[in-house]
Amino acid sequence: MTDDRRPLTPELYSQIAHAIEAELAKVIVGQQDLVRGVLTCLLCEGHALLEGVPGLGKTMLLRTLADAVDVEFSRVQFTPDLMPADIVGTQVLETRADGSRDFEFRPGPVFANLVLADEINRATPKTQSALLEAMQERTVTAAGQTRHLPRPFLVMATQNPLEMEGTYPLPEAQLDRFLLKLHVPLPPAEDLVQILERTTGGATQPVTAAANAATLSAMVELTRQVPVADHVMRYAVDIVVATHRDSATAPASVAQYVRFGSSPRGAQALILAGKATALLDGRPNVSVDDLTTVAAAALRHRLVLGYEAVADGVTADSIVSEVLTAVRPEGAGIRGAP
Amino acid sequence: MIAIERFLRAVQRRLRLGWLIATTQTAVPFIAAGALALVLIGWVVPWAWPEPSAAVLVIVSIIAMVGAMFFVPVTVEMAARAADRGLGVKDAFSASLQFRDHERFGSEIQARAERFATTHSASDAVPWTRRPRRWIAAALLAAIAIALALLANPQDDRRAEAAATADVLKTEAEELADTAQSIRDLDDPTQAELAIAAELERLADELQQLDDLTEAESLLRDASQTLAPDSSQMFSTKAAVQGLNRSLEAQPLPGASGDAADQLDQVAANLDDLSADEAEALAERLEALAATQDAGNAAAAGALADAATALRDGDSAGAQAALGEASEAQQAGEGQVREGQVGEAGSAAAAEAADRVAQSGDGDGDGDGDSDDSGSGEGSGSGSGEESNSGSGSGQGGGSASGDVTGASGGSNAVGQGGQGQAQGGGESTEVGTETDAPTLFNPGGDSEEIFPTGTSNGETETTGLGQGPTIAGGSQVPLSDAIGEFERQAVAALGDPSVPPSQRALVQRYFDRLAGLDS
Repeated sequence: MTDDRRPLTPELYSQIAHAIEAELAKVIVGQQDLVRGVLTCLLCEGHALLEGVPGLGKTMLLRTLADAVDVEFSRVQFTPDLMPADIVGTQVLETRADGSRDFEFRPGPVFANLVLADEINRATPKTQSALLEAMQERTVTAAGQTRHLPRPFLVMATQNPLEMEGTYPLPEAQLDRFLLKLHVPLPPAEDLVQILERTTGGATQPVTAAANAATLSAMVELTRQVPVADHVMRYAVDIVVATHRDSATAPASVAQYVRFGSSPRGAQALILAGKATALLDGRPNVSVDDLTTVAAAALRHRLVLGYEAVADGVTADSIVSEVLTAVRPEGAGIRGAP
Repeated sequence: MIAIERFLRAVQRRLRLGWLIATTQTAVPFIAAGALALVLIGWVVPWAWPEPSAAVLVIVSIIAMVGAMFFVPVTVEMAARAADRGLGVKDAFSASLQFRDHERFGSEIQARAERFATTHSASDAVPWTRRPRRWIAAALLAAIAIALALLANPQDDRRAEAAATADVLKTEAEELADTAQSIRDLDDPTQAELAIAAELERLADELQQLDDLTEAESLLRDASQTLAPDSSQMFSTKAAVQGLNRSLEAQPLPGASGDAADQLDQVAANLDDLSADEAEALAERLEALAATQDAGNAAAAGALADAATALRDGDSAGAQAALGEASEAQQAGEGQVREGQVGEAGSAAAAEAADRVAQSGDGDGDGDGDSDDSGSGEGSGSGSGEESNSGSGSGQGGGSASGDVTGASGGSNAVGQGGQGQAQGGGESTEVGTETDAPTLFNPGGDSEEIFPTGTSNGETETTGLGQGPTIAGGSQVPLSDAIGEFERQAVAALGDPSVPPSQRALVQRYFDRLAGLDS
């Protein structure tokens, strides 16, 4: 637990973040990129979309994160029969002690700091919308009353890349609301060994809180204040523009495989995630390297690829990689400079 | 902050040098290739400029690049970005420039940038990229170029020849220009004289554009032909005009002085002051003078005769008018003579230039002459002309010229003065670069002035011979005044003969100029 009275500096920010990651590492083996990505979303007040096969510790990750930052955690398993009220809450008729009856709002699982929406693509679009609306507005309107969701608020939604039959994939407009899309890869053999040792043994390491809600809020606020130099802003814009097939700076693969490029939310995601990345590195300013670090996660779910890409096995990640190769950050502008 | 500024200034200087190094590395192979190409051109064509141009190319390129280095714009922002990338400090310096006064992070940003500025040098931030292959390629090309430039070049001889040719032509052009200027400097030059001067100047300009001595010689000889006046007419007019001047100088008209035109004007003004006897004497004098002008200045002859008649008739006004016409005719004649002399001078200048150009040419020349034709051999070293009988041959070449002549040599064609005696020319020919049988000309005056024949290899003129005919020593039975007309006729015929070289004609001209001085 940190001393909340200390002024939050980039160094302290970085220390707290590393402490959180260290606590997570007690439970989660490997997956450093995934952990960093989720933490980035938390610190940017954004939401994360995870894609990976079942059994890779996605639920464990968010639950452990909740313990590490001492916030509330809830999990919603999306099923086809899930109703919006199951997400946001509902009015329940309650009998008081004196025998009178009144409706009382029972908050749904969305009223937590960290919400795991498991297999979101299995619920109906109506139910998905209820959650997505809460993600966007950070409020819930029920029975004519608007209720604010707690801060910090992070939704980590998962999609099962298998068993897509009978599911309701999130439309592109809804995917755009997630700050980052993170892949959950199968851990390597060495990590699997460690996972087995931890999960099949008797003792588990306790996770202590490295921060609390107030600290997190301060960190979120500090993240927003990180300055971004003009050439870094331009670089973010150049990257997003280059994802559009009609752009003069778009590489050939974009023109061939991308139907629609990233929306301006992609540039926002680049900058916000870049800010968090800089602070996590203990730096008080965003650099172009921070943008290239988060570019794949920030843009892969915002590119609409055509059938040709599917046929040729071209992924969004490869497109983003080519965009980063084609769009170089502004250099010194003089021959002989590095 | 100071440390950051100092560091970025150092980076700026480093960037300028880095620009110079990068630009040089990019350019040196091309510069070396360009220099090599120029040197190779110098091996193929006899132009004088390729090798010096190669050196100039290299020097100018180096100076240009070094000079441009000082004008390449290197802002502090560029230095910051270069330092960020070179040190991998994640835009620390760029952020320090832009967010110096940031409310929340200003101090942290400056502190971070300052830390890097104090722990790194400009050379760390801007490492220079070496491209050894470019330097090796440039060195190889430069070595080949230098080797080719230093080795004996097959075009060197041709260049030397071209340079010598250019020098010769330039010298001759200057001579022609000087001649033209001397014509322009004459007192009140006429349009015709100015045209001759302009032609000489044009000839001088054209001469300097040429690069071939044979072509130059041909040009000069053509020009000499063009500039030469109508000798026959000029000679007779000159004889008449100068004769009248000398006559009146030796025996002026009554009450008059000065040259002939002035005297005629003065006499015209003073006719009323003459007595009858004086008028009669004047009329007789004028008639005699008119007779001398018949051949050369018909207008003057007619005017003088009219004046004499008018005087006898007592017509003072008519006599005055006629004397005025005679004066104008005399002046016109003098003008024609001067124009002719100018043309002659221009023609002679061109001819002499042609001779010098021919003698300074390299290579052997062969010339053949038949019979009475003139044979001329052109070329240095040995020019040979062959002719037979009385043909004149002139070898126009440096070195020795030899010609086989059948027939009398030396003074066989010496023109004897004074009469019908046999002019036996026993000329001693001392040719240097000239044909042994150049016609010797009798020096009538016997004074120290020599008669100049064709030029020799060194451009100087030299007597080809002094033929001393027996006519002077033996005394002539025929008065000069009777022979001079025939001589004059023959001379005029010779002067109109295009086969006679212009220099020879000039010689004859001067000869009879001197003779004209003996008949008054």
